[in-house]
Amino acid sequence: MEKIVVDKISHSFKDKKVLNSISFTLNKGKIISILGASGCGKTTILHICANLLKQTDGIVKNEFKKSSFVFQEARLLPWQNMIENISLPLKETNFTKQEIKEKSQKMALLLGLKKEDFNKYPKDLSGGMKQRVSFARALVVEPSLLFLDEPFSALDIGLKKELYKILLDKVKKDVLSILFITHDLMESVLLSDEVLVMKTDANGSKITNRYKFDLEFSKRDNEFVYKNILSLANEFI
Amino acid sequence: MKRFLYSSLSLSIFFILWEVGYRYLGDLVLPSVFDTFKMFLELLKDPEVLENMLITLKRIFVGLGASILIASLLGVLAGIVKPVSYMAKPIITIMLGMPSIAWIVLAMIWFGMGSPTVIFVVFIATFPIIFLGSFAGMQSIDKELLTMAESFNLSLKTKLLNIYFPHIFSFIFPAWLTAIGLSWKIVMMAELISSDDGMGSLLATARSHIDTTSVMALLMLMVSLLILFERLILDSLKQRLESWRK
Repeated sequence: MEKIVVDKISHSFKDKKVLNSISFTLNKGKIISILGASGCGKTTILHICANLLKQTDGIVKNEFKKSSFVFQEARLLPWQNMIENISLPLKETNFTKQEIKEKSQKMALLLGLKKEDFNKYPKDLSGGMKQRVSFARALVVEPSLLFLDEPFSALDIGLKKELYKILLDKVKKDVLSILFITHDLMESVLLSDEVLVMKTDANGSKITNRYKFDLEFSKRDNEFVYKNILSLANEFI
Repeated sequence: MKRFLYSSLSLSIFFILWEVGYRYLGDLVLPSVFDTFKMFLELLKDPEVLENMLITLKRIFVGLGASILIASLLGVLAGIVKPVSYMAKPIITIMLGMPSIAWIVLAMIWFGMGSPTVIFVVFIATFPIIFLGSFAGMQSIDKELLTMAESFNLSLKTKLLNIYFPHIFSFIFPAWLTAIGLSWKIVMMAELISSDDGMGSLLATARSHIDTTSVMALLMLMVSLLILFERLILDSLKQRLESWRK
């Protein structure tokens, strides 16, 4: 079974220790969210797991065959239109140009983007559309692991729910695992099998508590959400 | 339309001042606008002038072409490989500080009179400008886009074609424009001093005959060529590559 094992990683920027012995395991078809205040090093963990940054200490063993990353901002190329932006990561594959275009268009439609906007450049897209394009670009490579760096934080609630649904659908089919960071309690309760709570002291940030939610995602009603938000909220009071 | 009106207004003022200068100073100092235009049209019909014009254009294209190609690529390389930029910087500073006339003198000693000297001077004078444009473009690239590219494990080729080149174009293009304008000036100077043919040499002949009308008409011809070149080729290139900004 594919999994990513993070074993006692620590990280320092120059002399400042940011992460202090972080460990967790993400199995296939599961979602782990990392919850913590801004600046506690959540993004650093994600970057280390995604191989964008080398940790000072500890081991990351990533067995997932393909991973992709969605950032807090859409990070689209301003000189390429919507479909070209989505197809960017496919340029490394052996698909023909036509296949790449078809795959990208299909993914755009799945993410709720409209055909008449396919040729638009990022500056003519709304913030929500840009973030959909960014998700489409990450999903078009059919990753087995997805890293999410608070990509929902600037979106309205309707769009958030829509994106949750698309992601959960892929997770349910056992094709996708997600590691995501957030400071939104509700998001982590709605969207995770396991929540890691991070806190910072003089020795950097570490995981102080873990919550496991076994209830199926579709059965998480308001009562379930409120109850668990409360217990999570107590962590930070 | 409004723009056209204003630009014709400024051109009219320019020609009126020229004509006033002619009335006061006489045609030895400043020929009349009318005579100059007449001479300009005659030059266009003169096969000798056309032949020399082609010689000059060829020198510009070879010198500038080599400079655009090599300096642009070197700028990109310096943007990617730090040591290359450290090595290039002092050399570029020296090149920027060297007066063009000094290059002409040196080139005459090295290559003698004729095309190689002219081409070399065009190349060496435009090189630092293009290099700096390309390098500045590489340095100003959005780091977040590079991290994004990194997260997809994109190869250098894909990154160059999709991120670096489109981005640096808006920096390198003005540098090309400056270099083209500069090459037009340099080529005349180099030819005037170090060549028996080309437009610069015609200028030298006209001067030795104190034929001010021909001098003015030749200059008019060179400037018209530059404008034609910018409008026809560069504007369409810019429009094609920058359509995403509109």
